[in-house]
Amino acid sequence: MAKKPTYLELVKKIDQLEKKCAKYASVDEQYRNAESIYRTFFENSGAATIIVEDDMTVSFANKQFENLYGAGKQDIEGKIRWPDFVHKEDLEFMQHYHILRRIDPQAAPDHYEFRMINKLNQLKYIVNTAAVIPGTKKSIASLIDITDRKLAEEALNESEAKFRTLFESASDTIILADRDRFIDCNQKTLDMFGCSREEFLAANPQKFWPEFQPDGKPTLALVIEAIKSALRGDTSSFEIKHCRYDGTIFDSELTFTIVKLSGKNYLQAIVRDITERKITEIALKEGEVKYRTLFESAIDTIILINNELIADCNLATLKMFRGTREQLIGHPTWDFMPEFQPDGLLSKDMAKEKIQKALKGETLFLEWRFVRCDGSIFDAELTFNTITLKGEKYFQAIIRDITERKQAAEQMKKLTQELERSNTDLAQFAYVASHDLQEPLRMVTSFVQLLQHRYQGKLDKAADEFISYAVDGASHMQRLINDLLKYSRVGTHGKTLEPTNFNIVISHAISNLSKMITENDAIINIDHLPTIPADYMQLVQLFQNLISNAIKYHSKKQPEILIRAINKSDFWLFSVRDNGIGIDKEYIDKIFIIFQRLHNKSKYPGTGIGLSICKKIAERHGGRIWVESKLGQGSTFYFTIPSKQ
Amino acid sequence: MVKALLFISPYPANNKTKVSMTNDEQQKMFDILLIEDNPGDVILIKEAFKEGQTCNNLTVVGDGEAALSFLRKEGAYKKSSCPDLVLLDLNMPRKDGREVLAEIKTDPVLKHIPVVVLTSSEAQQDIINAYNLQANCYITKPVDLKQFFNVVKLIEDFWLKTAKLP
Repeated sequence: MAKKPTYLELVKKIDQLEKKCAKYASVDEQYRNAESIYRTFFENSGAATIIVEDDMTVSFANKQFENLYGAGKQDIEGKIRWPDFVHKEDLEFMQHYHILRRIDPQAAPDHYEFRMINKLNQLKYIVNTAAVIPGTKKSIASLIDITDRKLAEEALNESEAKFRTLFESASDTIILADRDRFIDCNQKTLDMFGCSREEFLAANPQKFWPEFQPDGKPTLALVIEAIKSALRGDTSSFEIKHCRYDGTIFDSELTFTIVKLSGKNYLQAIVRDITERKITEIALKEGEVKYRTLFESAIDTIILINNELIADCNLATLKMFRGTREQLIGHPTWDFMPEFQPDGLLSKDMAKEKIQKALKGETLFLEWRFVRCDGSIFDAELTFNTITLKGEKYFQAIIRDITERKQAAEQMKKLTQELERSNTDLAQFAYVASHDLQEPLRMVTSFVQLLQHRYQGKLDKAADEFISYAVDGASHMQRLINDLLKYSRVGTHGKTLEPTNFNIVISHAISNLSKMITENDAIINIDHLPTIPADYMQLVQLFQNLISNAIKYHSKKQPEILIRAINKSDFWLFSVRDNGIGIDKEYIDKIFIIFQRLHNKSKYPGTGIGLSICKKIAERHGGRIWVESKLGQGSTFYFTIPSKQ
Repeated sequence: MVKALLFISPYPANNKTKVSMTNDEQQKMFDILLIEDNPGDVILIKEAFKEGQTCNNLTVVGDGEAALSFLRKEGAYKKSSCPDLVLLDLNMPRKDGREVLAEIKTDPVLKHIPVVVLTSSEAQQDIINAYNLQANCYITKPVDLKQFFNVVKLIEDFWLKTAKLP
């Protein structure tokens, strides 16, 4: 048994113990205080903070973490492991860090971003600051939620990408410039100027202009002026010549805009290649010049009318109307028309009717009377139609002065009428004369013949001779009159042309001449002949005259006649060839003239009218007649008759 | 062309009032009315009949009105006899041949009388018109004397010697 302690000893001991106790109490308090402090820190660090055990269990979590994670401590501490709230894609590197950190606290970065999927299944962007608690395998992690910032950043990136895409894919060249250098450009720029981005951005902007523009102005001055305008807010575009990287010049349209980026002013230049447009413009201009030239040099008057006013006219118009452009352009068309047209209708009424027709798309062709600036009147041929120019409807009037033509036509008509009348008169005269001459002639003929009949040989020899001359003269005159009558009847007594078989015509003519043919022992060869429209009796007459001539003017040889017909498609060519005496070249043109005779009456009797009748018959049928002949070698008479009427 | 032949009469010249016998047939004396205004033609026709040497009673009137008076036995022609044959010219003063023809052929008493139109007109219209008006024959006066005589001879031969008349 141990010595019983003394009281003192006991008091001392108690005191010692009390002191010890107090000391412990103080330490405990100290600890308590320290813990409370750290606890307060832990709870109010402003960041979501957790303490993670070696096995990744979350052992402590503060208030902020509760908010971030979306659950109470009772559901977190000791309940979840940190991989539970980490985005799958971030898990791997974080586990790697976790292990590393436990081998060497310095081995893993203590500051990194990861994505959290919280209890409420929300995606949170987190900046994590982790550290191993010294002497333990625990680590403390404080998580700062940067979701809002991250989303804003992402949106910004997205929109920048979008604008970048727009920028790059723009069909116009877009260049950003700062003072005197380029800071950015899109792909189109590089395509247009033919260089790489580096080459472009490194180059002096002046490399891309010729020094002077076609109008002689320095390009730089022009550009500076445009930039000044842009600074004043004027963003209108202007045409300028640009140079490609290789120095070739092209036409462009340049637009300057001032853009503000990060509070700073930049110059945005949009360049559009207008080479093609320029070419088209030039072509258009050339075309216009060409058409203007055509328009101005046209012989015909061309007038453009808009709303009843003369909108434009060419030189020919001025000449025709004897006025100046000022006297014509802008004036109502009515000023240049008489109140009434030749047919007595009001010009305005008629014109309105024509305008209606033209509006329907018809091209009108009419005769119209106009008044010149000096008040004189002229007749013209008017072609009138609507045309559309730049979306507006115009009337185009083409005027051709037909005064001369009209006068000529009038004169021709007059002459034709006169000719017709004189022809009719002549025919009438020939007919009446020959007809009315018959009566007294018959008396003369009959009585001289009666005289001869009764008193031949009863008077003296001279009387017999005188009577004989009277009888001859009378009978010749009788033949002349008969032929003249026949000649005039070709025109006045012609039948309508009907399909006529020329083989029958020839037979008829030959039968009429049978006595003559037999007497002269003539041979007549005939081709097969066509059937075409003709006046039967006149054709009989024609052939009869030609055949009888062929026999009558025979040579010493036996008369041989060949009659042929050749189809010349539009007409038939007939020929009557003989082996007779032929015709002297000198007289060839004369033989068809009425009463022209080449021979002595006693040798070849006749009136000289037969071939004139032939000519008249051929012409009445729309054909013609001629002869080819050599003296002593026979003649060939040709005539044509149209195949169709 | 009809070949012209000079008519040579086989008979001796005869007196107008005489009746001659041929081939046992008694030659009747015919009354012919010639309506003709042209004295030349009258002479020629008379001469032609003379050439024919037949004895006919030829009466001549110079215009249409006289002709109708004669036929209707009016005025100065009360004692006229109805002719066996009428030779009618178309173109005459006052009443022309066409009117005379129309009146004869529409007159029941006269229409049986053969009318030979003997004219200088060759007009187709005149020929058609004459036949439409019932002319018995239309002849154009030939210009040639021989032919003229021949025509008159043919008329005589046909109308007076061949055709049977009422």
